[in-house]
Amino acid sequence: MLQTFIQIVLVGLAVGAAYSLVALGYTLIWNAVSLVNFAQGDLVMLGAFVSVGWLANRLGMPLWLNLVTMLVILGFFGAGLAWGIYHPLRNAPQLSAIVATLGLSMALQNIAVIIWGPQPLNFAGPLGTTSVHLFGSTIYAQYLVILAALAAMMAIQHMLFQHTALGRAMRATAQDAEAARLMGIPTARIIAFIFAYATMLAALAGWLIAPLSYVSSDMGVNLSLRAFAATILGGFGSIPGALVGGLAFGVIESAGSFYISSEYIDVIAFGVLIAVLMFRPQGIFGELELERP
Amino acid sequence: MSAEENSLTMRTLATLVIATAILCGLLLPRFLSVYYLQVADVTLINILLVLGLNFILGFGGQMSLAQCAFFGIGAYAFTLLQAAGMPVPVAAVGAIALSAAVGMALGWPTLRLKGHYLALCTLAFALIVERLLVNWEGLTNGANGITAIPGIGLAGENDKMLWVLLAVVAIAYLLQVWIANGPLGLRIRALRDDPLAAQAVGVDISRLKIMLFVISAAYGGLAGICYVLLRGYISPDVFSWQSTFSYLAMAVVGGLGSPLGAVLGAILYTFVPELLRFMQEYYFAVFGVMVILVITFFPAGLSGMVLSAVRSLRRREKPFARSDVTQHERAA
Repeated sequence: MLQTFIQIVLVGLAVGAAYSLVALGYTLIWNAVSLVNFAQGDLVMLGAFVSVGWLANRLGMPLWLNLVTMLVILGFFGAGLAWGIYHPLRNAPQLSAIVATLGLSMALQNIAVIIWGPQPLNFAGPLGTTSVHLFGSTIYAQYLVILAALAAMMAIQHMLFQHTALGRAMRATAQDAEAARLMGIPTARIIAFIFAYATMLAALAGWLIAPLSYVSSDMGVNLSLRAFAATILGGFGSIPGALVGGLAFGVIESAGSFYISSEYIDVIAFGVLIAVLMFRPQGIFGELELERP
Repeated sequence: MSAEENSLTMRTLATLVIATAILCGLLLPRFLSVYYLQVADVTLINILLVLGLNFILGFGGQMSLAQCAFFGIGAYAFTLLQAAGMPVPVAAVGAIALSAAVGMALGWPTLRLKGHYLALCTLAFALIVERLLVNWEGLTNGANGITAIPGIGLAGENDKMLWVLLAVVAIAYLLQVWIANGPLGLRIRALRDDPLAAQAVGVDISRLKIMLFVISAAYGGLAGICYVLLRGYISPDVFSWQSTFSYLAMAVVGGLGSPLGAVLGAILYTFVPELLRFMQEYYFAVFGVMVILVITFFPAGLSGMVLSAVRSLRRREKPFARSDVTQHERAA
């Protein structure tokens, strides 16, 4: 009983960690420029495809070089998004910018099919289907890698935000871009950097979950919806919210599918989400952004 | 709603819309192949869905992503009521009533939410409805869907169905303009532009929002009925939560809050990709980029583009009436 429970929680946390990485991307971009980037999930897909389709299968790069190269490529791609999508629409109504990111999502998915073909790619990763025993339960080692990666990213992000000039500039831009610009911070460049960083987080999530699933053009769709739900659950615009929301949503899904029904897993997870919003409409860590009924 | 669409009297507009519908009904079957005629029928259903979305999103400014759920509820309710032995008109009224009732049920608990929170709640609702359609096999026959629906015997007859759809869309269009220009429309726009001020002058915001959900859902349910009549079979994938983003794109690309925009957006989104089929696998990629470009360069959408073109034409015709035009614009 207890073993099963531990296993469910661990798997839920690991899957949730991938949601958290994508959710952090939503949150950082939202804080910086008040834009919800619905193509965030497709950046996950793009990261996995670049890593598996090009760097691993075509060039046969060693693992660490593969990861670093992929992150650099996707980082530049993210900065390009800031310049190509956000910048021309920075004064447009919020909804227009959202639909532009939906257009981007559609374009990316179909470009991926053109480049890498309609067949999903397989990626065993260094660990394959190695399992580990932990507290008497058995789970894939890759799940632990995902959890470790999230922890490492959080540590790196903390260092970046608290102890570097770039991090301070990023925080200042997120808090009040206009004031930051007046203080001499090159906000356009900082915003491009935030987009690049958010894209790298999503791509890292894609790289991490690739061994557990196929790499396919639509792999980002479900992930982005769940990450969006996690962002809302945690409270929009809150970094700890994105973290906790992602993990919580993963555990809710994992537990719901085991104890109640795997067919109705979405109904349960999103039903819980709606119920939470009924009682705490601002999410777990969110600030009140409500209208009087 | 824009000045031009407003400045036409209801009677002129009705004449225009009905004339356009009759013209389309006469000309389209002559020039389009059977396949493209079916695409035209689907385009008309999409127009209906976007008109419905317009009420809550375009006029009310409330970010609802549940339109595909009402589409599905209308289609399944209509089918199942017919299967239970009800005549077509009763089943149709029942399906619209059920969609509207579910719209009310969704509108009430989500009243306090706004922005992304409302968007996600309605999206989650759409996803739950889709999952139920797939998994509740006893009622919906699951992923296989339901075939051989009797309807009114028009399934597959694209040219006759075209007339039915043109009539339904023309009525839905005029009803939307009529509502938007009436006292209810005034209150709806007040809600969108400044909810606090609207409340201060005595607009019952909660009732208004629920009403928007209900009208929007009823339009969605009606579109579902039209879909069943057109196809004669249904399966859950048509009502997938992901298609809700297509309706959103149609509404925004066409021009939010504009009935003309709903028409243009649906045509661009449904018909143009079919014409671009010669690009084969590239066309959805190109289309995604096209959506971005339209939004970037024409923020008011296609309808805004058309209307400003009309405006500048008028200005050119009457060079001496320039001051009148500017005054008119100032009033708008």
